[in-house]
This record gives sequence, C-alpha cells and structure tokens, in this order.
Amino acid sequence: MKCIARWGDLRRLFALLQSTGHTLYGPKVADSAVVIGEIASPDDLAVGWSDSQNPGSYRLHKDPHGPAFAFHSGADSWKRLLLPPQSTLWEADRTASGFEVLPSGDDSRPTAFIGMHGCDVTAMLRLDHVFGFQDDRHPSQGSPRATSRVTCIDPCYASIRRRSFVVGIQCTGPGGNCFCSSVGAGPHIEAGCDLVLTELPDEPDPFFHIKALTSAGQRALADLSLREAGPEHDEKAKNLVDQCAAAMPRSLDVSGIRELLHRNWDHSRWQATAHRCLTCGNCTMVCPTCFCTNILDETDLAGRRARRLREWDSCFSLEFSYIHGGGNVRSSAKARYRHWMAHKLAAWIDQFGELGCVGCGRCITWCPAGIDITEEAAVIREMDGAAGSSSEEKCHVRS
Amino acid sequence: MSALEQDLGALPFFAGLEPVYLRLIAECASPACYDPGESIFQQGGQADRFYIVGEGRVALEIFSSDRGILTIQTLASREVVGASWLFPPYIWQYDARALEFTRLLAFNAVCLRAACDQDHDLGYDLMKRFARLMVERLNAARFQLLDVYANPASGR
Amino acid sequence: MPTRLREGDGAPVPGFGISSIPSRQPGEHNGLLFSAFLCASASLRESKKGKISARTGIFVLFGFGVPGHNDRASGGAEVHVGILNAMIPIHYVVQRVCRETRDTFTIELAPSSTEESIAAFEPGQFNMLYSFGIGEVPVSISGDPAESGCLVHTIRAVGPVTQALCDVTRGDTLGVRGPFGTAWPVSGAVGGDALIVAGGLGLAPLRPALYGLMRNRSAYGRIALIYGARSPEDLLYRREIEKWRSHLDLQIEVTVDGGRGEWRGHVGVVTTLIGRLVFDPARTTALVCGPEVMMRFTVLELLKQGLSEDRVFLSLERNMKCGMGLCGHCQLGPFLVCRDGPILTYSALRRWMDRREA
Repeated sequence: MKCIARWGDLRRLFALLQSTGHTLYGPKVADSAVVIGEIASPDDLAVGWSDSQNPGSYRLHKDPHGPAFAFHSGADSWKRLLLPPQSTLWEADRTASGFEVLPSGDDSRPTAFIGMHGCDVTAMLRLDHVFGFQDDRHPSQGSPRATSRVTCIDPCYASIRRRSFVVGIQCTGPGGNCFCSSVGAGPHIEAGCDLVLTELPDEPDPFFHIKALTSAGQRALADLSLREAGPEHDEKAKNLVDQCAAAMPRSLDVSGIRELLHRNWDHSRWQATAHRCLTCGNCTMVCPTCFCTNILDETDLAGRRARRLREWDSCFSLEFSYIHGGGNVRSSAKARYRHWMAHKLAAWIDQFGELGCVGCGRCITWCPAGIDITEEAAVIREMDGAAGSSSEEKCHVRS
Repeated sequence: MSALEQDLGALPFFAGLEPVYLRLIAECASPACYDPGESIFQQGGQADRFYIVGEGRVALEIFSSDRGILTIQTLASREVVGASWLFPPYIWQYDARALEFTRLLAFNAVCLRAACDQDHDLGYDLMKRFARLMVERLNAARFQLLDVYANPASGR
Repeated sequence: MPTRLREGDGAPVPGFGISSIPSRQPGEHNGLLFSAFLCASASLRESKKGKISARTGIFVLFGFGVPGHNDRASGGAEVHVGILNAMIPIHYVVQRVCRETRDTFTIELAPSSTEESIAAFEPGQFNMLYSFGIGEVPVSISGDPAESGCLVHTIRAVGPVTQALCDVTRGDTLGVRGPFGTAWPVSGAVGGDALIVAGGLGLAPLRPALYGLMRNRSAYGRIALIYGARSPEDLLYRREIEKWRSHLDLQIEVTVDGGRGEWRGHVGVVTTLIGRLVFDPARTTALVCGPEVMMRFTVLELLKQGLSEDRVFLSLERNMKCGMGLCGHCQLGPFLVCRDGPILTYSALRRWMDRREA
C-alpha cells in the first residue's frame, strides 16, 4: 500500500502511535550533532538540518531550503535502543542455601523507531541474525543465511524488536562518508520496516511518499486515511533514491573481500594504519552492527546482592582478548585494527553469511585519525599480494 | 651379514647406512647390561663410548647437593644415549643410570672417531645422524624449558 | 521450523536473561515450553530428561542441521543440539571436593533440585561456573557423560574466581550454565585407532572422551593416551590412570617435564612419546588438549607421523564471557570459540594458529 502524506499527516501518524502507547524515538539535534532520542512529534526530529561529514569531521548546519530530512548518519546509531549500552541481566540475593535469582520487572511498552535510514535498517537486520531474531512480520525475508551451525536467541533483543514499530526513511542524497549502495545496504529499503518514507521535494511544504511493508504498517496507513500514491509519485520516489545510490561519494568493492583480506593478512598496510589508529574504539561505539559486549558480575559492599550486567565492549580495548596466563592475544594496535576490519568484511561472512558493514560511514566520521575503511580496503586490493614484510620492518625501525 | 649387523641396520638411527659402514660400526659395538639402579656412566668421566638402548630404560640425571638428583630425560628402547663422545674434551655432562634391567649396545668412541677421521664419508654420515638427533633433542629441551604447564598465577 | 514468538501473545517476555527459542520437535513439547518461556517467573518446572524449564531453551540450528556435518565454520567437530541454559545459572550443590595437586581440585556437583539441571553433555563441552558475588568462568566438564546425576569439573586456581571454585566445600551452592561448545569426535573415531594426547590440565576435558572410547571399546582399534605434566606432583587422576593402565587393551604413557629422585617413569616432553606408540596413521583420530605451545609441538609430531590434518582435533581456549556466541570476546578469525569450538580440527585451525595475534 502506498500513500502520499503531508507534514500534518506525519503529525497524525505520531499521534496515532502515541495513542496506542508507543514511545517514539528518532534522530534529533543535541550537542551539535544528530543523535537518537525520545521524540513526541515530527517537529522534534532534526528537521532542516544537514551535515558535512569527512574523515574525522562532522559539522551540522541549518539548511532551510533543503529537504526536511537532509541529515545523514548521526553521532550514534539505533544500536543504542536495540542493544542498550548497559543492561542488567539479572540480580540475585545470597540465601542460606546459596543464592536466589530475583524475578525481574518486564518492559513491554511498545516503541516506535522513526527515521531509520537504509543503512541503519540493514544494520538492524544484521543484528537480527546475530541475536537469532526471526521477524515474522516480514515473511518475504526468509531465514537467515547463517553458515555457522548454531545461533542462540537473545530474548531481550527479541522483545525490543517485536514491540517496535519501525518507520524508515530512504535517503534522497548521500552523506559525505556514505557508501551503503556498494555494500548492498541501501539507500533503498525493502524490508525491516513497517513504513518507508521518501521525501518528495515540494515548496514550501514537504510531502512524503509512504509505503507499507507490513500489515501493521498498512493498518496505520488505513487509520490515517491518506491519499493513495499515484504512479508519478512512485516513480519520483524511486528516481530520487536511485540517484542517491548513484551519487555515493565513497564505495567499497566487496567482490571477494573475504579472500582478499585473508590473502593479505600480513600486508604492510595494517602496520601503516596501526600507526595512525589510537585504538580509541570510537568506531565500535558508533558502528550500528558492532555487537560485542562485556558480561560483568557485581556485588554490593555487604556481599548480599549480586548483579550481572551486560555492557558495550570494544575489541580495540587491550584486555578484550585476555587469556589468563597468556596475556592479550591481540596486543598490538595492528592486530586489533585488523581484527575489527576483518570481522566486518570477512569473518562476519563466515559467521552469518553476509557482510557486517552497512556503509553508514560513521566509523570514518568519528575516527579521530580519520581512518577510512573504504580506503583501507581499496589500498589492500590495489596492493594485493605485494610483498609486505620488508616494508613492515622498515616501519618498525623508523619508529 | 652378521646378526649384529642386521640388528644395527634395523635400528631407525642407522636406517639407510651403507652395509660396509654397518660392518665397521658393528665391529666397534659390544653388548652391555645393567641392573636396576646401576650407573652406566657418571658426569665427569671419560666419554669414550655411546649407547643405544635395546630394552629397558635409562635416566639422564644431574646431581646437585642442594636439590639432589634431577632427571633430565629418560630414554628407552632404540634411543641413543650419549653425545659427549663427539667433541673434545670427551667428558660426560650427565650421569646415566639404568632404571630397570637394561640391555644396551655400547659403541667404542675411540675406534669410531678414528674410523671417521680416516673415511670422511662415514664421518659425514654419522655426523648428519647425530646432528639430526641433537636438533630433535634441542627442540624437546626448549619445549621442556618453556614450562608450559606452570600455573600462570604463580608469578614466574 | 523454529517456533516464533508472535506479537500480542499476551504475557510479556521477561526482560532478563538470554535463552533460546525452542524447537526441533513439533507437538506438545513446544506448547509447554512456549508458555513456560513466557511465564519465566511462574513455577512451571519439568524434570531434566527431555523437557525444559522456564530458563532453558534449545539451540536452533540454522543452515546445515546435520550433527557432525563437516562445516567450515565448525571445523568438522561434532555439534549436538543441546538443551541450553539461559544467562541465568542453575543451582548445583557441591557433593565432593577432591584435591588433585597443589593448585588443582576436582569438584563433583549435583543439581540442587530434581526439577532443574543442565542437559546431558558431550565430551569436550564446558559449563560456565558461577560463584556468587565473585564471578563466572568457563570450565570444561571432566566427568563421565554417562553418569547423568553428577557433574564433575577439574579446576586450577589461577585467579579469584577459580580460587573461589577451588575453595568450596560440600554443601556449597554454585551456579552452572551450559553445556556449551562442540564435542570430541568420539563417534567419529569409530573404526580406527584413537590417540589422546593431554598436557597438564588438558587431561580434564579429554577424560570424558576416554570414558566414551572405553565404554564402546570394541568399536575402535588401538586406544592410547599420552599424558604429560610438569612434575610427578602435578599429575591429575593418578589413581585412575593406574586403573586405566591395568586395562590390557589400552596403552597409557605418562611423562613429566622434570622428575625428582623417586620418579621412575618417563621424563621428557609428550612429543617424545608419540613416536613410540604403535598405531595406523591412516586410520587414527587424535584428540589433543593442553597449553597452546604443547598442542603446536604435538600437532607437528602427529603430522610427521602421518596423521591427516582433519583427523587431528584440538581444544582451544579463548576469553569467554557469555559462552553463547553473543558477546564476541572469544573470536579467532571466523570462529567463535565458545560456539564453533572449543573442539576444532587442525585443518580448520591451521591457518589461524599460524597467524600471530589472530
């Protein structure tokens, strides 16, 4: 079902969602960046804001004559809601016979995610496979193409996903560091959302092409009694997104990328990049697919109550790979950078049958050293198989 | 070919050795046997022979007054015991003791050294065999040195 | 097909814990499990055999569903559909504590209630053992899989959690999550010779495999165990080894890295014993576990003896936090060691073991 909506209709959509108890989240401006937070109306979104993104650089600026939704990937990702940075898995009290796990409160409030770009929707689908979530709202999606045999299912994640109503937005212009089309992650959105918006330019009042991908989405459109989209709207929307796909400022050639990285495991480029990498882990924090977490056990001072927490972790941290008696498996910056990039573009394929990178460009923007994953891949591809070890020794001596 | 030559030729250590050399080496060989606990050679003594174990077990040991007897390695059937005969000063570095009733073949080092000096092909062949053995022993010793089973928390 | 939780099914899904959504067998099990899953705090408990309590679930197999299938990601080790604990530990009570060496203890556990226990385990698998308030660590299961009432773990005290696990006494309660991971190819080795090479604490995860081989003795050719430890005082399961030695159809060789005066056994590294065994390399399956250096030397020697790379199985160790393949810590190249391992073939691992800092 496809419709046309004006700004007022979006307000009614928000109201509809709120009336059914949804808490709404979307990209808004805070601290000079677009971040994801709770919103109440479409006016709370980062309307009229655009961004200039370059390696290691992010600038927001108001663009009153541009589209309403001109912003691109923000400073954080929807991972903040899908896989909360910190959560309590369980709490337990010490008892005479040992310990007793306390029943937890449950969170069943529905949520609505408004304003997911194609890259982020794809990232969410990637995380679905990581956490074993099967979305039966999208029967056409099929089963995950995992090559690993066994996947555990995380019900926290499943709960969040199941009670979320997702409204995606197809980008009509790429961001400065974007490359979603070359990794097959956007900007078109064909799955994962209940509704998909595409902004069609019209002065002074922006209007939107909306298509429903699920029955919940269709119900919402029906409740809003929107005008049906005509073929000229469909075509306009499609053209805009096609143009966006063709205008990506960066690209990552993923053909044979897994074998390429495996072949060049000792390439000198890794060491060269490691010289620049601060192992700060920003990339893992802003990346919408990075899922590594740490599990911690805590007690209160009296030793009566214990908690198990799960919080975001980064493979760039030194102790991430620590084995007792063995030290850190990956102690050099080179090993850690290579592990991260090779996980995204190679090991992810072994584990989940697809790429882990969605081309959102956040890692490029938020890297203080401006390291660009597309450039790294391109350099390695260009110098594929070139003798690396001698240059590596030189690097070592130089430092 | 005598029975001894045949036995020698069947040993993995001498595998592929020319029959004429087998005969020569057999001429330098004599059987020996030791009771359990009996000393075969002692540190500091003249290394004028080397052995190959037939049956039984030999322990290579070092004695120190503060730590007592330390066993470096045990050697069993078909294994070579003794390398100090190869190079001056031809002095045993370790003690060797039979752990159980042990039959060995003892090879006269003086006789063999002379034969190697005379026939360099024999010398080269024997050196290669011993060098290979030493490399294997060195690798094993280094592995032993790594103390891989130590408790990592013991702060070594 | 896996059962999915459907929207609007009523009872809210508990916000805690990670468990898996059931299913391979249709029928009443699903219904029961389904509602049990939803009402986590309700007292819907079932006995261990074949049924699951609220906090457990079943691995869902995607892709290749055939246990034992030689899959790239798993490296050929046997995978079993197991009934798996959630993130919440199950209570087990210490029945016995036995000191093996200066710093290593074997503890025997039994479930604290008849209603809840972990699933039957396969040799080579591990549990996450939890000491209240102190922490949780992965420990290989070292008991006999056929002894269903009893869970045995051999633990070396190397840090605060393991020290706490070694300090337990009879009657203490521990938390157990598991069993996790892939298994030794006990059935895969049928019809040939089986060679077990254990170094140090590595004998602990191998002992269940030896039990499995011995239980079905006639299905194998020669069975040999080579066990190397630091010193005679560091030998595990000494009395049991002597019992195994009394079996005329098992070859057991024990060696130590350094021996004092009274030790009359072998002195020297494990690799020196491999060449002394009699076995048919073309039909031999090797199971190897110990410190990584020891495994590397051992593999070299085994390959030199003519064994095939895909019949040499190693048990790896990596930093594990969740045990379920969700936290990412235990990655080695494409493998999540807690899920695709810890047992993997050398042919799958070779490229990754050769790479430093992988």
